[in-house]
Amino acid sequence: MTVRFHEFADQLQYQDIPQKALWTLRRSFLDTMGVAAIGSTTELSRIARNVAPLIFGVGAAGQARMLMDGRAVSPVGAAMAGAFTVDSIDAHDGTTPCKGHAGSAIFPAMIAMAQSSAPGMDGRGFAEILAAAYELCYRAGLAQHATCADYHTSGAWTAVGVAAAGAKLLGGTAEQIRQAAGIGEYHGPRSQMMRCIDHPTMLRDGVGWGAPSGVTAAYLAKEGFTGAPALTCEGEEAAQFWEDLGDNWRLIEDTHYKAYPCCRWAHPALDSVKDMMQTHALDHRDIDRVEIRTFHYATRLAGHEPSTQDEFAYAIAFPVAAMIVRGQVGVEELGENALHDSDILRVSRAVELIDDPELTRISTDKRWAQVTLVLNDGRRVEDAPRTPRGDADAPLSDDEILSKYQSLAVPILGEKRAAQIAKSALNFDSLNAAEFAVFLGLVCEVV
Amino acid sequence: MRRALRFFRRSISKLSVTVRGLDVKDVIRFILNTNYEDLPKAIIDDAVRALVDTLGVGIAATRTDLSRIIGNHAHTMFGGQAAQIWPDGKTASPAGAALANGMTIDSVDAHDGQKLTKGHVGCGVIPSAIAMMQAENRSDSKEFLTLVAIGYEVGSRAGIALHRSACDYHTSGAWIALAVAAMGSRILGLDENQTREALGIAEYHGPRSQMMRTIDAPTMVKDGSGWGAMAGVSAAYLARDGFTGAPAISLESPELADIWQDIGTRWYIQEQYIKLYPVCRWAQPAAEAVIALQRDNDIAIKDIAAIRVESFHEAKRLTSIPTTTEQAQYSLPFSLGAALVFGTIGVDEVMEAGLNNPAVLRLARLVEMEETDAFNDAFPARRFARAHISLTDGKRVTSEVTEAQGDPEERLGHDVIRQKFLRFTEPVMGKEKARGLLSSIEALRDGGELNDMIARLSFKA
Repeated sequence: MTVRFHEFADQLQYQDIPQKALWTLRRSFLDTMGVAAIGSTTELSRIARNVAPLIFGVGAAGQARMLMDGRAVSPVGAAMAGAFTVDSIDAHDGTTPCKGHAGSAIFPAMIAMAQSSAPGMDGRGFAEILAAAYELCYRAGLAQHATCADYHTSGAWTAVGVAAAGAKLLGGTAEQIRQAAGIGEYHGPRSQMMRCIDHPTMLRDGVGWGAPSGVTAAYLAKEGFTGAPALTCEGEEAAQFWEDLGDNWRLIEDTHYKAYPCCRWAHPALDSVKDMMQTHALDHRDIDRVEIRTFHYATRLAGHEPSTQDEFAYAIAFPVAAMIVRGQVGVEELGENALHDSDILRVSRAVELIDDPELTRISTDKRWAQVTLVLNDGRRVEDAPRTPRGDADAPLSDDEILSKYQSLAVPILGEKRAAQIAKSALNFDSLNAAEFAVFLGLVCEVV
Repeated sequence: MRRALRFFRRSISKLSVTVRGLDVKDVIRFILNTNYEDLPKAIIDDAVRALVDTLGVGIAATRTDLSRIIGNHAHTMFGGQAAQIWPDGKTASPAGAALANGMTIDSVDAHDGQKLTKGHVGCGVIPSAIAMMQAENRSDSKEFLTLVAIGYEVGSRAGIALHRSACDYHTSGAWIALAVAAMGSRILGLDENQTREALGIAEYHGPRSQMMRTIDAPTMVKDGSGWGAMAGVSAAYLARDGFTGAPAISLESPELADIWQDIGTRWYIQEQYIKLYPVCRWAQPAAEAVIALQRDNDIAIKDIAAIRVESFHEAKRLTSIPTTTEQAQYSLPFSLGAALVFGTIGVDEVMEAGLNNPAVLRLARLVEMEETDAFNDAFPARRFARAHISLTDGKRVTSEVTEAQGDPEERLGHDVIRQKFLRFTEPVMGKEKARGLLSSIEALRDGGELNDMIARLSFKA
């Protein structure tokens, strides 16, 4: 290890952050706020925001307003409510090597802490916090997956990065950052991802609990609580994931964006049927069956008849059927009407998921699927195996991300507020302290 | 990993209701419908015993830095007016009070435990029950004792189930969350479905922290109990508002049904051990062994030249020469040093001020540890140690194969536990308040005022 993780986090300054990383952070900021806007309309988000004051009321140490809500709670509570809100729509940024998502925890947590504990924070300072948080989350996540004997949700390892970056935000020493990471790791929910994939509920990706776990860890470490070492950061087996810290940025290489609001594992099949339907000028009434060969885990996301948004988020068959019938998977396809659309349901029931050993073998850094459409006349339209758009090697353009943001945010926030947030998010690291405070106020106003 | 997944797939394929004779609803009904009158008298006695022991440790533990830090933190970050943080009565939300008071109890490792859970259910259950009763304005002492009994039964089973099914050794916080969610469901009046969701949320949010990490590197995170308690309280409040999170695998998996089947007939609250010393249970067989050797052989500590201990692997991992109380409580060598110098191990010995005793440290540095196959095979159901002490004159003495005092097979009398309570609490709160608190706990059985007992815990308010 060339530089120790807590010293890296402590010393990281704006000028050390590569341009591509800043570009990624701006895109993630915008993308996450769009998801937060639409997320605020879910039942999951409503419950989380109503319960937060009962658990994490405003105490003596300052307050934070909840994302897209306006009500004040402790920064821990705002992190919980905000992370559940973002996680409630599975359209936020992610990292395939970590099989999860960091932005859904980082933005709500750091926006909450900045409000209550960093009054003079400007955009440059916030970029330092975000960059440290992403980089530490991703590496802790890689280490955790490689060293732990179960597949845990993002809540587990985002707690580590949020804790460390949170301690940096509080002006903690390198040693306090180290202790924070250890506490965050210990308290983070090592919840079993596959349980929620087999039985989708509001718990989802665990960040709703990982974000507040990380935030409390940061404050605790600052107050003298101890909890090091985080084995995902300091353990011998984890060392290989930290060797090039500071030289290479996993943040740049691994962050992907979603074109559709559902689990990443459905995306290669969605891209595929979208292209095939267009290329072959097909109508959904032409489709008899759909065969999707993909990696093992994905075959467990059957989801032929999701009855809730949580089940939709962890489905493949239904979103693919929606794409075949409607040519898009957007906000409307998440709605109650779409879940009962008989055309979509017919196609969805005709989707077969096939566990493919070869695609399972190669689906590590990328997620693979191969789709065949079987038509009523018996013809088979086959696509080549493919990985989803939106990965770093096939990125969504800035325009695509902006238009996705608009499609999610404008109906909820209105043109004006949506445009103000977009302008600030895409430019956040140039905002001075006053402008940055206004920006945070804007994303924490009631919807 | 592959084994875990195979287990997982098998285990969750059929969760709905009846599995091998166990109806998951039976467990939920036990949680929601058990009445005080349904509990055997011995169980009520043990609930009182658990309260005396746990709250005595909690009061002693208000001396620690850990307690001070977490109390301030809960007050500022888990704001609310409804529940109190010991000892100064600062307010917090019920989740915050459960967090602070649970971590406080955990900060002195002298509270009860159970061998198969390899952990401590009461440490999280008792402060959570108090915080939620207080927050929900409930003062029925019978209901409170019933709640504690239910918490012990659900928590112990959840702990055993998690150890059998998860591929790592997690702290008590991981499964305490389920016990606390169960109690919370009852207090908040949740229905059966909501209770099932609450248990599932608690399992998902409970910290599956790695016990052996903090054994190897002891810090304030300790046994995870306070954090698990907080997660459990929160789960109940989330479920009340409609949040979903079922199924809790450790409750609903058919593979684990046998653990839950006897709920309401087998009582784990009767199977708790009581600790006489504020150090890790794994160090206590060895501590008892050296205390017996010294007593039987009249050894002067200055004559001790070497100490060798045979025990089980986990005990051998307790290696610190401590500079903090957390390290001291997880140190077998330090425990032996203190036991030899003082003939016992008291709270003072493991607080910061006690860590620089040169005689204790000299002996601690002499300790060599090894594990034996026989003792490893017996763990965790039986925990054995044998000590060998060599003296400067060349004489060598060897102890019997020894277990700790306070195991359920040889229950300590209630008077021993009362004396421990007073030994722990009087130096902190004074004789009068200590005795008053003890009476108020013991009076609960006869309809004593719960609010009176709760108020006495905030003795600096």
